Amino acid sequence: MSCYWPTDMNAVETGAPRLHALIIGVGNYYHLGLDAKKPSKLLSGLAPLTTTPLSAKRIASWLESHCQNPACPLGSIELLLSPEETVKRGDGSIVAIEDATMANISTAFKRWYGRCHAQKANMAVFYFAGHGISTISHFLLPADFGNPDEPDDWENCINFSDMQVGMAKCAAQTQMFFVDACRDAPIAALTQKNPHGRSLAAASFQDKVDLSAAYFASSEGRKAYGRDDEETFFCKALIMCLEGVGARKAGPKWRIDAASLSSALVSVMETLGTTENLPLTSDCRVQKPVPLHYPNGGAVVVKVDCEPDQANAEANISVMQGSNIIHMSQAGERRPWMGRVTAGPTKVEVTFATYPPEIVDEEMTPPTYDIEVRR
Amino acid sequence: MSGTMRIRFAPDMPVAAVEVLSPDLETVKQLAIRPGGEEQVQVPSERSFIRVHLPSGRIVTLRHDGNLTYEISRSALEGRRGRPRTSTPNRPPINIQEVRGYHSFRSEAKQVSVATTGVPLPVELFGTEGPSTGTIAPGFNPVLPDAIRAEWQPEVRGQLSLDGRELAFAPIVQDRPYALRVFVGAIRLVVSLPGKLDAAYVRVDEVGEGGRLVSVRIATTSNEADTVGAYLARGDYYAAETMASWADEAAEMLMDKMQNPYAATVGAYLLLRLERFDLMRNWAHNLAKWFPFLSDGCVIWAWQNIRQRNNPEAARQYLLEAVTRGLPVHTEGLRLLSEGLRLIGQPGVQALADLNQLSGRVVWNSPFTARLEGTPSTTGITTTFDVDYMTAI
Repeated sequence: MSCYWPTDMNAVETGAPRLHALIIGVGNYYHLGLDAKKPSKLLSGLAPLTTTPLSAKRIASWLESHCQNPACPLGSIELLLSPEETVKRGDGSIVAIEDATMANISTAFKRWYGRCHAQKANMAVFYFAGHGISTISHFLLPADFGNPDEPDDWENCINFSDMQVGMAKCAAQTQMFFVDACRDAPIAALTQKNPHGRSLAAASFQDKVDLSAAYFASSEGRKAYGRDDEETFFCKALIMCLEGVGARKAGPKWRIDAASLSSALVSVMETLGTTENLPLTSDCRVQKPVPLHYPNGGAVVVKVDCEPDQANAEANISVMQGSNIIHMSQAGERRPWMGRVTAGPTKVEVTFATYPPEIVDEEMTPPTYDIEVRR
Repeated sequence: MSGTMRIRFAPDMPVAAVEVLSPDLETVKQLAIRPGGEEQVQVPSERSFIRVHLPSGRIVTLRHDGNLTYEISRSALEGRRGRPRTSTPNRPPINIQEVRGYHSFRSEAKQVSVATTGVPLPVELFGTEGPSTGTIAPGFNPVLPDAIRAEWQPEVRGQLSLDGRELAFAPIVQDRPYALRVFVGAIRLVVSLPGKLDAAYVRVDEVGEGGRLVSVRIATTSNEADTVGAYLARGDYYAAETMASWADEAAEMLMDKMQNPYAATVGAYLLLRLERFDLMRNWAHNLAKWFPFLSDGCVIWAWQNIRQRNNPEAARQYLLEAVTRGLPVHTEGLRLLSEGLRLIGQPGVQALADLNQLSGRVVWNSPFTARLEGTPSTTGITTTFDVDYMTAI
């Protein structure tokens, strides 16, 4: 079973425009890592990940509970996790989620593709968290990647680049792909082992879609991917963006579209990189402004950083909106400081033991607002 | 109360997108303003304000003095929050953001230097050794910390400044693209660069815990192209959209033989992304025809044939031709070439394999095509590569 939402697979609406999601989180790799019983000949040094199933579940849960788009409401969520586990849905019901093996992914992909293909106005959303490698193509590694019993070591590997292009065959004219892949693979494996993988879909010149937007986490190395037992940094950034940081108000309503999401993801990943002191990067190119979600309001990631280092150590930070104190951070806490506020008038006070204070009273608009205090 | 907002850029400003917002944060209009330029916008309220989308990615919020008028200069932005960060003066940068801030600071200093003396480039700010500057001859290989070396192909004369941590090189301006090779142990970072190059910087910093950052910053001879390229690389559709008319002008300059094929290429990538085929007409064909050393032109013309002209045969021909010319200079071109080859069946399969041989491991978030070659050590320092435009503000 990989249908996370709705609870009844037969209740999936295919007669009207809907958002259909395929979400994959691979943490357990049967043939990678020191404890593998049948170790792969490829990339065997890659270790299991604890961040990825958490991230996949977080994205699924967010879509289930928060996604708002009257023109294209949520239609279905296919979820695959490795290790397989039992997951509680938003309504409290329980579902046993299938393992994210190549076979299960391939089957779930076909179901997802079929639903997406039912309507031109459908929206196809794909999210993958797990190990990945990239050459001229991006490859995503399912749980059974590198099975030494297979005649081809790359049998259980997804060629994401082919898949994205191949999805042009699908009728759904809005397609969004989030590739949250841990790029921890040694270069030798990429250049000397002729990496390849399964396309899952194929298209030709005649097949066109209105939007095929891909957003990549591109930080190198495991440390820059996520803290153990937490969601990945890219997942955190994506959720922040979907909750209003990626919004733009081009009319009376706040709207997150494929274009505003790109630039917001880049900004939020940079801000996270500063506060985590890690080289976090993303690869999110310019996309067309096709609406994805209408949040209840805009939100802004605020960062406060002081110079010199002593000022950072001394800084007491308070953030107010109207008469409400939104955030307080005492001297000695983690710096640079980062927090989220509702878009609008915001007052930030930074006080020091030995320096004069700094007060910022400004209209804050998505996605990010950097305050640099120099003393 | 509604009114007319006046926004003026001082001559020292770069071209940049300005977003005009109403008091309830609704975007009223977004437009590009050039150095010395002025624009007027009808706004619904005198409490309307603006945000300037700087090429560096910083967004600066500005309020007027009650008269709906803005005079924006670099010095005015100096006092603003969200402005480019200067480096901490007492120590070298210690994380990737500080290195990026340093590059921005240095870029600004560099512009002043060029305007006043022309040489040398002021890169000695955080040097570990005494600076050495001078004109280098072909074959000279400057060495950075950890025995990191930079090589230039084709080997050309140019102005060099090396301070032990950072190398600045301003080669002669030429038509053909350059390749910059940075040797980090057994790994090589290879960056394809436009021939119309103003300067390239290669810098090495220790960042985080046991990490090393090799950063490369590039300025071309077209500030506008660099601004557009930076917007595209940062995914800022709305800022990039304001530059569509510049892209049209870049193409016109190409027609007039005032040739900067690299600026025209950036303009074409912008118009492709915006799907402004009305502005592209058929000048991408000229780009492909007149500059055989540039595979980007073939890629652009192929995609115009896919998306607008519905001519699969021409698209196929130019995609395959692009591979024979080598890697595109811009990563956007490599991305489009890779996508296009996946659509053309068997000939595309072989061409994609050829392209893979050329490209190896791609640094996809670099605006210029960058790839890694060689086998890294599995122990020791983790190296992060960061390639970007040298945006001064």
